Amino acid sequence: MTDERLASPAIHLTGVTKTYDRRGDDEVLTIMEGLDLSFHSGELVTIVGPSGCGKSTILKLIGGLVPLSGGSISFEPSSPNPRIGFVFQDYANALAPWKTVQRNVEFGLEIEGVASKSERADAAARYIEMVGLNGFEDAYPRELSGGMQQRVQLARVLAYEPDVLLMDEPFGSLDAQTRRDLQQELRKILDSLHRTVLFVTHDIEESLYLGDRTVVLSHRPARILADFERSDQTSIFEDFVSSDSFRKRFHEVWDLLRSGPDDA
Amino acid sequence: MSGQDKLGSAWIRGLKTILVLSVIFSLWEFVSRAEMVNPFLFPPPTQVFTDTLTAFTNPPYRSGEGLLFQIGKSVYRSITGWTIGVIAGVLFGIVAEWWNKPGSVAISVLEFLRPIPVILFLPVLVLIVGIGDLSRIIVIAWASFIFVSINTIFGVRTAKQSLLPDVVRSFGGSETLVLRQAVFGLAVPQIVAGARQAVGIALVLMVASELILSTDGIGWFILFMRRSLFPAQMYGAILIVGILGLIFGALFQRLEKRILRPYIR
Repeated sequence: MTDERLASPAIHLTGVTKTYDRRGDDEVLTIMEGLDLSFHSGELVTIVGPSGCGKSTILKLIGGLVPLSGGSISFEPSSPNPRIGFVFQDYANALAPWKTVQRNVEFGLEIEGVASKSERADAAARYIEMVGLNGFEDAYPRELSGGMQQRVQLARVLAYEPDVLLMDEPFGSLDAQTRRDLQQELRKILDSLHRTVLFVTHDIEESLYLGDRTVVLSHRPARILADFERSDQTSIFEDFVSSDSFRKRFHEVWDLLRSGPDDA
Repeated sequence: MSGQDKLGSAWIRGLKTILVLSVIFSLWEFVSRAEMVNPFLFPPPTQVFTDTLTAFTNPPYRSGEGLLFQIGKSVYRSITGWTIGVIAGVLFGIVAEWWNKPGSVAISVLEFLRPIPVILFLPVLVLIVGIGDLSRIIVIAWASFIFVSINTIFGVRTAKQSLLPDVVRSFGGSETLVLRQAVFGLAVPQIVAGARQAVGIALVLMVASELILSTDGIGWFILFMRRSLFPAQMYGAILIVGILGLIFGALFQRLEKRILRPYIR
């Protein structure tokens, strides 16, 4: 189904500014100022940067969850309401605790107003299978491990069939082994979907392994420190991280992030 | 502990309770029959039982309808009042806390009215809406509303920390859908806690409201039996209030267990 749809849109950020009024004092917190950044259609871009640099804010701005302070965000082909799917880091707080896995995966379709129960159930079943949760359809989120809860969130967003997928440190709170497994599976799933995906992380290794392209951001106000294409095409994690090109990149990014001001 | 053991210990506890109660009732029976106390004022439990049973359909001297009718009245008032209070409390709590700016004014007004003992509203209400069911229902509904709305407000505060409202918005959901599909569900454990407190208060107010300016209901029946010197029926009715409390509590617990199952590990 997904493959027959129109290409996923490109996203252009033009002179994007975001400021927050700090509560209590008159200081204005500038997260980013005049940021220009483009994401191509069907591209998986990882955004890496120090914590608090505004990388999550970029996703929230694109997703329309927070208003812009300046500049503009456009989609190409232009669409006033592109379908956007969000995956959050804090899976426990992003799932509905009173809904079973099945109903959680149907959630996006339910919100959208897909009235037909069987249509929702079919979509849910397909993606529950894809993320490997078959057999857990009737479980409640609290009965699942962190990795499995994150799989529920992934299935939910895929069942919604978004044009753009925004992932905010989705594997940040998982243990190392689970994170590896999910990274590899995610690559496999996304390779078959050809969606525009923005994946925010502070894990350099993850950003280089997952991204078709990696954008390195500075401490706030966020500037683009580097913008790489993927160095090696292998999707096998062990091969990827033992390649010379990976190690060179890793050091490069590490140096870029370390040299930035650090008042965190 | 396995389910089997739990069931077993529940049975044993039940048996122990029955044992203790039978000891108490036997002592009471003996003390009364032996006329160690005035048997007219403290009739033996066997007499309380038979007289009360008779009163179900044949109430003593000029007391109008039977005890069964009075119980029905009281149960109707408490359940109706509780239900109205819970629904209103949930709606008010969610709306007032979610739209904080206008809501905070409403919450302040509530905080002002909250400490006034609810039963004081009754004489005023009787003047306004009359002596019938409505005044009692309003009193019970108001008290339930207070408990449920305050708890709902806390539930909504926890919902505000959640990402689920943003999830609903990211799927293109309106603010109404955010309330229905995220905030309400997240507030449910707190709402249930409030509703549980309201069950207790509804029972107390059911009886209390019928002690004042009333013509029927089990509270009125207890009062009337005392005035008319039918202590056996009075004791019987008091025991029935206790049994009603147990039944309400057990019914609510079943409901609560079903609702909260997904939330509790």
